[in-house]
Amino acid sequence: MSVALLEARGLRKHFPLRGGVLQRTRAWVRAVDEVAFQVRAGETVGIVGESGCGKSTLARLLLRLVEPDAGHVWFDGEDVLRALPSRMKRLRRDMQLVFQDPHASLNPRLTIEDAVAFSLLVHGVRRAEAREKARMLLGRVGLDPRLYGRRYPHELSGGQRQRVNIARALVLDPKLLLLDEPVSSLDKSVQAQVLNLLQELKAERALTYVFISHDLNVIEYVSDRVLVMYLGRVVESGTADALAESPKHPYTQALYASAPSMDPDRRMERPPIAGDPPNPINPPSGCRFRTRCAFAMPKCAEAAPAPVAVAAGHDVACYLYDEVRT
Amino acid sequence: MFNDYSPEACGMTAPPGGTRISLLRVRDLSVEFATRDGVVRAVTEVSFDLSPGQVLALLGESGSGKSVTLRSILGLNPPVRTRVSGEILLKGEDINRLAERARQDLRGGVVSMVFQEPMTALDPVYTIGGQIEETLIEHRGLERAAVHRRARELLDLVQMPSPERCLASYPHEISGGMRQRAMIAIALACEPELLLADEPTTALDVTVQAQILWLLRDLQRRLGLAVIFVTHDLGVAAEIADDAAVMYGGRIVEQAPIRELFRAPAHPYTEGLMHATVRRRQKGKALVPIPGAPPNLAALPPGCAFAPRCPHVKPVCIEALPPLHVVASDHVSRCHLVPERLASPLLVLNKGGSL
Ligand SMILES: Nc1ncnc2c1ncn2[C@@H]1O[C@H](COP(=O)(O)OP(=O)(O)OP(=O)(O)O)[C@@H](O)[C@H]1O
Ligand SMILES: Nc1ncnc2c1ncn2[C@@H]1O[C@H](COP(=O)(O)OP(=O)(O)OP(=O)(O)O)[C@@H](O)[C@H]1O
Ligand SMILES: [Mg+2]
Ligand SMILES: [Mg+2]
Repeated sequence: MSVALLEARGLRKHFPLRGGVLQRTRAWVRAVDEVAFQVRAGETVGIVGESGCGKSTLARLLLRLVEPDAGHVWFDGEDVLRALPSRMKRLRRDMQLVFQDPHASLNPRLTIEDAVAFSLLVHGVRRAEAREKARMLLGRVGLDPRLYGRRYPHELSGGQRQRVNIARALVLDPKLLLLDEPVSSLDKSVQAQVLNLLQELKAERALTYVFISHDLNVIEYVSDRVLVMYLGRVVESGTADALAESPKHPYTQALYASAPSMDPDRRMERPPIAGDPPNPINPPSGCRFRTRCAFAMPKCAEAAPAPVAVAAGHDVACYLYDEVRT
Repeated sequence: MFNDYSPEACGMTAPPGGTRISLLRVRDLSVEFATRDGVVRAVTEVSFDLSPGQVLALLGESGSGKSVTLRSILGLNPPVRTRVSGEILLKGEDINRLAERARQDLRGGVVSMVFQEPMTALDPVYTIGGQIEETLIEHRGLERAAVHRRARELLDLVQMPSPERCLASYPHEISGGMRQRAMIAIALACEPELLLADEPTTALDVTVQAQILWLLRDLQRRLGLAVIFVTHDLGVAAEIADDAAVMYGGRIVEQAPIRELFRAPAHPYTEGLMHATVRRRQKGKALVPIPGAPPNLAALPPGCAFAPRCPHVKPVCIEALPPLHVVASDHVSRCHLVPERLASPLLVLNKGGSL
């Protein structure tokens, strides 16, 4: 087994909710709880889950844009959470985040050429060289720098803005990209352009991806391995094929069964599960899925089930698979 | 089906069962907005019919004119700097000629609307129960006592979990899925015959979307509702619609029964969309994106708006607007290539469900 490029163990983040005149903490949002996973060099690991399950928070924790309450992160053998600020700056060069919202994430007052060159300047690259590299990258992501270089973000379409974001993330030659819903805001025809571009860039530059999306089809398409999150926890992980062919966790099963079939002759018979995901402020005790689970047992309320391997590299956190626990 | 193309004219027989009665008949609807960047032609010469109980998906990408079309049916376009032309006949009455008062009666009576974001459509300062009751009193003239019972019945109808508690809740106190159910309950309060749904599941999680789609389909069948369902998602259309109209650059470019649309798309844009959409089990197979970007509605070309992105483009496509060609019964496509493709079926790419 090759060494992981990125590894997380026991990651936890609970946000305090304050209220009242004294701004005392009233409650905690359990955004991320006990999350552990590995990303090997060259892989694409997909993270899928519904709104509010903690995907973006997890990405921010990995980069220390948010400090975790507990847990460990290693990148390229280095303990990220112990890294001093100067070292952190270097680590963030190698590990870049493409943000969820392409509209909010570009500075409206910078031309896109300057936006892409910006982090090079921050890292001490000479202006002429930075500009040259920015133009080269804009060309690579399909935006002719002679036509688009001097434009401002508002003069671009959503798909073009997302290309700028990708160029900007690549400008420091990172090893790993954390892509937070990189195609969710795009129209389907443009989504395919950006997905193809990301696949090409990955092969060309030997990149490693952590790809976050709520769209199961997209996740299945791009990922080698997939983590399924529900209310801050990973409920199942395995290869994209294993999850597609035999999802084990009742939530994963419901999630896959809820995706439209794209075939008018194979419409859904009945909704796979009832209800909405509960509030992460006071999540259910034990297994957080138990309130919507058809197989819930008394012990599901007592403690969260630990992940158990149902096959090599396929882990499920559910008491239904207890018999395979050793 | 379209006024600019009668089936008889091309030697086709009328659909079996004679002409369907139409609940809604839209003819040459065009909507233009005067903006700083010039005149935005949001909707151009859109025509379609809807019979009672029919579910039509209005499919298209962002900015293709779906919402403006839907809002026009209710006469809800902004009153200034807007030019609306064409006819919208709802049960025979042209809503563009009705007085505002009569239009309001229509909105709460024959037609109701469900929006993408229930949070913005619901009033934050009233309880869900209060809002349903308000609608009932205003439009149905029910009395207070009857109103409460009816509100509760409506929540049961939309299968609201814990309906009594929901009646007393404010919009922000309930989940997204429950808000959408409440929105649907309000829309159904006046027993409409036509429900206009503008991306009602787009903001929802996929497990909740599945529930709402199923609910809408179930209600539609039980109540015999006609529905226009706006969506950008082919998968959602496949789940809910009888027929689909595909919009591009403000026009309907293809219309067909939903199965036919998936089996044999006859417009290069629809075809492109089918190839560009990621499906299950597609890993390892390349996606074929549509190059370029949607047209600028303030500077539409004289020919086919899709021509600059079309893999099959010919000189005529750039020069002249394609007419609607009949592909099969109830299936039309606004593409110059249709006659050629029909004559030589090998040219019809991907026919027979290879997708
Ligand atoms: N800074 C913060 N303070 C308080 N709560 C937060 C903060 N950031 C995130 N949360 C909460 O943590 C939970 C997880 O949020 P997160 O943005 O990680 O979810 P997500 O899976 O990315 O959702 P989406 O699919 O909607 O982007 C949510 O309930 C969110 O409201
Ligand atoms: N009041 C208005 N003034 C000017 N332009 C408008 C107005 N309303 C809509 N438009 C423009 O008309 C076009 C069609 O808009 P519409 O809202 O119908 O698109 P849509 O197909 O519903 O897209 P989406 O999927 O993004 O909701 C867009 O280019 C939009 O910017
Ligand atoms: Mg997020
Ligand atoms: Mg719209």
